[in-house]
Amino acid sequence: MSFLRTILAAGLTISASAAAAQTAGPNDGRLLASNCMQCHATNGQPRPGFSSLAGKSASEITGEMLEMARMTPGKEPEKDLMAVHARAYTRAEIDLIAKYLASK
Amino acid sequence: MDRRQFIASLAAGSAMGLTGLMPAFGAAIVNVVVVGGGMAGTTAAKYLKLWGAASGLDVRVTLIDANAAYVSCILSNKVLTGETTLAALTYRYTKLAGLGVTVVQGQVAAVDKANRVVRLADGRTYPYARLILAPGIDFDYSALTIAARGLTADQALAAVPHAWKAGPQTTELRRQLVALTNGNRVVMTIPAAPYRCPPGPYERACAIAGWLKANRPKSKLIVLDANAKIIAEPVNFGKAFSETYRTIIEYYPGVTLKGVTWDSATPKLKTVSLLDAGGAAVTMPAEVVNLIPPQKAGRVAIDTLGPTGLSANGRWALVDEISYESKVFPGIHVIGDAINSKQPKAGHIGNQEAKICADAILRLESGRAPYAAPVTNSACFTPITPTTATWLTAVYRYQTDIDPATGQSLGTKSMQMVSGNPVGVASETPTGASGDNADAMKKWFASLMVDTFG
Repeated sequence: MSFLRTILAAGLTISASAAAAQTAGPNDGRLLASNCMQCHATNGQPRPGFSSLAGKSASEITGEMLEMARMTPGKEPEKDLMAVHARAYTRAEIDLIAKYLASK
Repeated sequence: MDRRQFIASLAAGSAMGLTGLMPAFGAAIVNVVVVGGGMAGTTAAKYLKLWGAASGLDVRVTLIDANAAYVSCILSNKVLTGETTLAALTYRYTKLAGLGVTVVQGQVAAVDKANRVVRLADGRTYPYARLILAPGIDFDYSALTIAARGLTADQALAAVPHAWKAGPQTTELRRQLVALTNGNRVVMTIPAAPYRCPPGPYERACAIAGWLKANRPKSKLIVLDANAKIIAEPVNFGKAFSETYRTIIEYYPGVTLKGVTWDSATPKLKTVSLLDAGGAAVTMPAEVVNLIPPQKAGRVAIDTLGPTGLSANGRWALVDEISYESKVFPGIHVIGDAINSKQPKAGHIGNQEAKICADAILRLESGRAPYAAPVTNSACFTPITPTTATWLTAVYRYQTDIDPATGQSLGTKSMQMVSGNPVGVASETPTGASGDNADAMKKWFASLMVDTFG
């Protein structure tokens, strides 16, 4: 990312998103994805009642998270448990989570 | 490293090598002592070993708890109703030991902050580079008069059980419920927030009311809430109180509890004293009193950090939630129910606080800064009847504190709720109490305990 684009990104996104995107370290995705593990098991392996996160590609996981988080103007937002979770993450964080889980 | 240490590290290395967790030869040793083997402390110990293996550090973790095993508070209301047992909710530290955590059963006598050593009551000592305190809660009866003619103070307290730590008090409250005559009255009291498990007391009310409705249908459950309203899942619990348990529950918000008195010769003639929401003194009779008192951080946190490292009211540990390190005492981290926080005091989110603390310690000990914007999530399923449940969830993010009056930055950061409908209000299930949620609750609990103890 060029210096100019970095400045623009910092100016255009909320601070948390900018922080995640700019300073992404090797274990940032691991830490964010650890929020999934209470239900989806320590390494994302399948658990009764919860889909396996391991073995999926990053784009599949990102796609599912964005689908759950989707807000359609004029429609009541989804209120199920994962929708509430998915909407709390920035796009940069979802990408970090997906990249980490895809590596498992 | 002398010869004895070298041989010891070889032995440790060969044992750990079996599980693939052998640290790099010559890696810097980091001793972490975790005090408290509940949901937060156990998770911290586990993830320090899991993640420490790839950190380039030789992370040595000791977990100290007064008990040989952990009894889950989650689902323990179902022990009161006879649906499950304490034995079924008991978790051991076997898997943790398998990961290379040294598990110690013992009572912490003192933390020597200057020399960074934890000393146990039996004299054993454990030096640390980083100390994680996860002592949970203690109870504060100081504003209450609990007295019975013929009983010692401790006996009187035990006779009005909180059952807010799963164990003997849970068994005692169950015994008292079973001993009720149809038509007897049960009083339960809810302390002012913050306390362990925001939906817990309302779930407790549903558990007791459900059991009474099925077994002592002429009995009443009188719920005395120090809070101005139902503070968690107001829609779901409001419906449970006003519809499902309309004939059993009487709910009174805004109550100031004063005490409980009786004569040990007539234990089923207790008198509960309180100020009602309007400030008027009221007494009410009850055969069983489930008294959930005001709460504070567990003793080890109070003793180690007080008074400068505690909130102004002396109850909770002041930590920077980017790493959970004490704001006053470097090298001491506090996680779980004992901290001063906007995050709820509960096992599921305590598990996540622990992971953030473990990751921050590994980064700090590697000479790096903690992750700048940690996220935690809270999720909790609550039984409403033996066959139905609801859920509650919220997500928190480390971000700038804003003065609610002026809208200006306060220059500090803490974990703040970023989810909800609307944002800032924890989301409760829109489908209400259901069998599907009860089924999901069992799976959620099983998975949470695997991520913590497995």
